[in-house]
Amino acid sequence: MFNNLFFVKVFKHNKFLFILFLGFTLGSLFFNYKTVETTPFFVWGMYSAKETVPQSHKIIVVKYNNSKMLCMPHTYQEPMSMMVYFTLNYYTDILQNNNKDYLQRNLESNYYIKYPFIKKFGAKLYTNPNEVANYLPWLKKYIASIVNEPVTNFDVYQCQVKYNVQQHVELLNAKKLYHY
Amino acid sequence: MFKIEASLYRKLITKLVFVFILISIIFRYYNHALLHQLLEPTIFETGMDYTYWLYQILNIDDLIVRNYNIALLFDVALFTCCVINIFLTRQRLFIFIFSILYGIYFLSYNSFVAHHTGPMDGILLITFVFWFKQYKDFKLFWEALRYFTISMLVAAFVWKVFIMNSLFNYEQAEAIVKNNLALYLFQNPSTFFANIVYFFLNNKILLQIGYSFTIVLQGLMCIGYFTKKYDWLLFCFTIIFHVSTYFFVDVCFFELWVLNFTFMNEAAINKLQFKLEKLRSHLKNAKINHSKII
Repeated sequence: MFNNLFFVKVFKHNKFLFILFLGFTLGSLFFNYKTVETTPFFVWGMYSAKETVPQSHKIIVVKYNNSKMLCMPHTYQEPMSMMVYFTLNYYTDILQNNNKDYLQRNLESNYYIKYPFIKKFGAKLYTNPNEVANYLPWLKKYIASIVNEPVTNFDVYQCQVKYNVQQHVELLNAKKLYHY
Repeated sequence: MFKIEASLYRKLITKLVFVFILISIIFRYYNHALLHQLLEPTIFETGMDYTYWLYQILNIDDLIVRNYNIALLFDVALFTCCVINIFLTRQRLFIFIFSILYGIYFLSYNSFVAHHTGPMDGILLITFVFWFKQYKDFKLFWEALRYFTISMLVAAFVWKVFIMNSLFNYEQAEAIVKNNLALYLFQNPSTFFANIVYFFLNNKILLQIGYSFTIVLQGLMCIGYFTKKYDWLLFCFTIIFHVSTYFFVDVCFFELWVLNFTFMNEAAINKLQFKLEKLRSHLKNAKINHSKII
């Protein structure tokens, strides 16, 4: 009966594969338990946290060449839309935290004390102020490449929107975050 | 040195997988997401993932991604290697090279997009299957990958049902849809799809039923731990799941479907091969008859 079990089959055939698969399984269980993703031990917990419907939502809107709205309506455009919106969110987080990303803060307040050897290469692990300063010029180039036209300027707005009774999205207010 | 055992099943699987990967690379090219198209990006995120730490420490980002010409060469190599693997299924050397190149691409894109995305996880892992010379090793690795595919969705089920209990949160589906589609609905308020979303948001019970149904599908994947008889069903479950999240959660996980090939067993592949051979000989005969008539 047990001979048909996958791990038994692998153990009998190839000990190296057995150790590899067992290590992968245990590693995946460990990192899921710790809820820290360490490639290739992936944590498949996305959208599992309980969510409530807020009164309003914050969205990022990008306008380029004075008035054109950057619009990537299709879900299959995700790899490039992420490149714009996810990096913008990350950039905003860094600016809001005095030009430090959260890993830098974590390293300085925790890791450097516990494991001083990390200091040797620590600065390589997070975005430095020079890279932060070069972000908006890079974003202009990237937007120009995806809209396939020269971009002279762009504005980034943080818009607060809400769903009305018909479930249509209404703009409450808009705040200009960046201009370049 | 790099010749492997001849096996029709393995040959076809290799072809299918690399054709799929080629489509994924073309999809990423269209999406301005290949390394040279990132145009020497600046900010990046490693997070607490030690593999990304290693990537940064080895300076791969400066060597490849932040150098346009090298990044372009890298992308050409990635594409070429993938094409070679479709035609030279017995040459493991190009499979080794491809696995390394794809690993670098995976870490680079995820670092510079400032989010460790999930869709490429399947492609990252699947190429290692073809590293093994012995057919039995390949088969066992392939079977392990099948269990990984099942476990991935079962884990998602466990997270939602037992750990975070979000399945029983009545607002969950509405909150996810509203959060993820706010920008789309703001920019495209009168499209056909927008009207479908309004319908579901006005009939929240349908939305919650749909959400619960997809979670049940994830849970049902555990059938695969006990039998391979219903693999065709598991194949369909993953398709249904990712199509529904494509529309309602605005996430594009189609690249993970590469793992669905693990649900295609030897019998199914041989049947496919037999039909292809039959079609080929039929076409050949038709061509001969046609030339005789002429």
